[in-house]
Amino acid sequence: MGIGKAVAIVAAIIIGILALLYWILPWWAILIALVVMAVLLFFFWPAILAGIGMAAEAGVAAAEGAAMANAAKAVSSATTAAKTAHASTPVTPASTTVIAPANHDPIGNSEILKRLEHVLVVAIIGIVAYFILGNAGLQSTQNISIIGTIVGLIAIAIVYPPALGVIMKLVGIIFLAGGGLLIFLIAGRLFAPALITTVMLGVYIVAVFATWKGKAGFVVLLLNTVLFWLLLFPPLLYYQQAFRPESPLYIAAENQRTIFEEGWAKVRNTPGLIKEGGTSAQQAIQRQILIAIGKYETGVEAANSQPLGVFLEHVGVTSPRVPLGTPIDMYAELTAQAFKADELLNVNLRCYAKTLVGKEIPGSAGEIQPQSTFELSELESYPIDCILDSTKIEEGAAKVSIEATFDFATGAFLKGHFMPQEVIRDYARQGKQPLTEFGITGKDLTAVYTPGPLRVGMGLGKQPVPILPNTAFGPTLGVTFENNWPQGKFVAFKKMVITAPPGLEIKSIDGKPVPGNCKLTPLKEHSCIFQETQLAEFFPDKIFTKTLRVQTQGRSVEELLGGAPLAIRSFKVDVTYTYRINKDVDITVLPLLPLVKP
Amino acid sequence: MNKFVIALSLFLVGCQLGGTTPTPGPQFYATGTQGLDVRVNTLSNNQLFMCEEGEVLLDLHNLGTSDIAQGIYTLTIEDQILKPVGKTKKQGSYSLEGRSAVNPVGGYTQLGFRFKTNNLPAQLETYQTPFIFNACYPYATSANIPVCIDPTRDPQAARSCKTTPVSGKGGQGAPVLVTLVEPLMVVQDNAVLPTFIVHIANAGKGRVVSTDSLGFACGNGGGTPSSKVRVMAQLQDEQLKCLPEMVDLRQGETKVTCMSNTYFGAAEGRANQGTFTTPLTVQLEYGYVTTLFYPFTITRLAHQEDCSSTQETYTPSTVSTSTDRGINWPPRS
Repeated sequence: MGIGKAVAIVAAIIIGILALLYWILPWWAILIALVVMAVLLFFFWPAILAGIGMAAEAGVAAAEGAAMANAAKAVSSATTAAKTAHASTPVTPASTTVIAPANHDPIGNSEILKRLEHVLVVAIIGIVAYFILGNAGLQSTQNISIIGTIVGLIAIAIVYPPALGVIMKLVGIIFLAGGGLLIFLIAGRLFAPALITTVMLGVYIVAVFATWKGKAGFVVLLLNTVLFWLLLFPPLLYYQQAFRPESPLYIAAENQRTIFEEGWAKVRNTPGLIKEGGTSAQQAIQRQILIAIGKYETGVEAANSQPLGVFLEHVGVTSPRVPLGTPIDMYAELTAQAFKADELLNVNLRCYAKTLVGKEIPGSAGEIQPQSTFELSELESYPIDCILDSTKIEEGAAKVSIEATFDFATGAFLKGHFMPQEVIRDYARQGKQPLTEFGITGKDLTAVYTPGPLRVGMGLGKQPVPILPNTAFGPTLGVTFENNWPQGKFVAFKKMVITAPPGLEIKSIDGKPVPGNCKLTPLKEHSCIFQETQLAEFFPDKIFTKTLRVQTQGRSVEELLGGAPLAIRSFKVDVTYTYRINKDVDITVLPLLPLVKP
Repeated sequence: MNKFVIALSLFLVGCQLGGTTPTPGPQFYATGTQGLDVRVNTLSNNQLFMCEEGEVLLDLHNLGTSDIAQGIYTLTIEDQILKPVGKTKKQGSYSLEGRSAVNPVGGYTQLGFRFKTNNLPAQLETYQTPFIFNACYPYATSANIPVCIDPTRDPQAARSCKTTPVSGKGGQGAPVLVTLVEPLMVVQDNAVLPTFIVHIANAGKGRVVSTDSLGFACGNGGGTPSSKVRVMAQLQDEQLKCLPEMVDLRQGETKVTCMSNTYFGAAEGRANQGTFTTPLTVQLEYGYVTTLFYPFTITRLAHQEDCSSTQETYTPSTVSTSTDRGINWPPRS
């Protein structure tokens, strides 16, 4: 292998890496290129080195050859001169063999031209690399330093070929040792999840150890760690000086820093996460227990053309990277969808900063523009802004959160099908399902709740409900309340109205008599109203999935059945409650460092 | 010559003898398995807005051969959502003539029910609620099955008919029918006592109840639940003894044995009449329940809160019993 080929290979590797840095390739192409480069480096490195060694030897041989040629030329000239001066004097062969290499013209013109070509190639590579690295975001000082060093080393190798082997080895070491950092930045630029980045780095480390073994591998690993630390973390945070803000390299470094900090924060917050997970698990267990003991009542969400509730949509920040001292502008669109136009929805807004593990940063609360409280009617929407003071947030990655607390109402109903017990028995004796005979299907027996943040299930046991004449028998209604929005949090009940159909009256809830809460409506329904304090007794636990058992008693069979063999009567539950939703956005507060001008 | 004879023959065949012969009308056959047919008239509206009034028109048509006297109906509706208005009542009665030679299409009536929708539960855009019409009426099946009486004991003797089972699967103009009659000639001395095994089944889409349970079936509290059919049979003016006299059709097809007390054949000093065919008349009496399910869909208009501001309108219920026919008349079976 000639020196030109060796330089070309190294140049190709460098350009490949720089091209990757310039992000002109899609992610899959980058991965393929990485693999190809890895193969080149790990498997053909000895060949490259050998080639470079051969080139060096060839360079030496060429130098020697040139000297010999010059010497021969000198001998030839001398012989001619001698022939001219002393035509009769015989020339002894020994006089030609003792000629030493001439030292006054060690390199020939053609060799100089060849080396000039190499210098030109290296210069072009250097210029291209400078351009690419500059556009990737490397500050000029660092760019010149790095490119200058590499180009200088290659230039030395060309000028002084014996040094080429050592220099190329040194360049290779630099690239391999910094490979981890390169992978890290690429993964960060591509917004790869932390897991993928970790896997890629792991593969790289294994490859380094497999290639260089024990101590050398350890050195590479240590070098990479130091480089990471200096680049991404305090006290140096070198990426803020080395890379231009908002450049691909800067964003890549910042992404990786955020990922690392989030991971580290999670590790630090493990006890809290375990506790939180425990609460979720408890809630799931509570649900399973209710299902197992038959106390979990289901329901289906009513089909509405619009989703009902209060929503924070199109949430974002004007800039995800904010220098310390610059205000953070978080924006969102507050939307309310409800049917009750006569009752306004009161929405309280709040915004604040959180640590990466979701803990509110004290004193970080921002100011909501144009106002922090809204009274919304149906189908209304307002753009809002929250201005936070970045000085209240520590430098580094954090979250800003906007929170809407509002009162909302959910209604649910369940159709109860009542039949005289004798009629049910008669159908049973005929082997027929009474409700099927009347054209009633299973979906008519399921509770329906209105869309919103609360799920309300209801059940009456097996239907049809038998009615025993001349008795005060009434069915027991089960009502299950459950959080319907995973992104929201139930705060508290404000009011609950349970309505029994005409002919029935509510006797007690969970065994507690409730005579003072109930009254007959003009439609002869028996309606019981419960306010906040009384509701707190029904829902003492923080775990929210809860079933209330509503005991009823018959008041009038005539009112209930209305002289028909089958009566369809609805139970209704209407609840008003306070609910909270919030949306988070990731931000990074940058330190106020003097930027190195390009 | 031959042509002349043929032409003369045709002329003579085309001639009628003097005098006026009445033109026979369409023959009436008591067939089919239908009784009261209840259908929703296409003028009915089951897509309503909240607080709006709507009307359901039901076409009642007696497609069977028995008259319906004092049939009753009950409506099952969700009173909290649908409120009857005007003269609409949740219970009522009707009478309809059955098909016969003089009224081959059967009696028809139309019932109208007007409703106003109440407030829907809060925050619901649409709501579905059923309208269930339950018609209970007394009905009867009169089956005339030709049976073969064979008092001849000689197996080699010539017979005009054979005592084979007779099917009644085509129906006898009522939902409960005699599906099969198996004649048995019980031999005593030189004569036979005809005995018939009568198979009875409900082939209609409704439910059989006892006549005295009709009130109970339609929810007015009268009677007790029962599903018995009274069976009576007659052969040549003789009332046969049927066992059991009351049958329960809840388990499907049921058999009744009806026996004659009259000896046929060479008995009591008279000569053998020989083999002959005679109708066996089986009379079944029962109550029948027909149910119609008609779902209403009620939609809340945008910005609509409650019906308190909507003025209630009064429109009298329409009940007509006449030859007026709805759009979908006659009903297609």
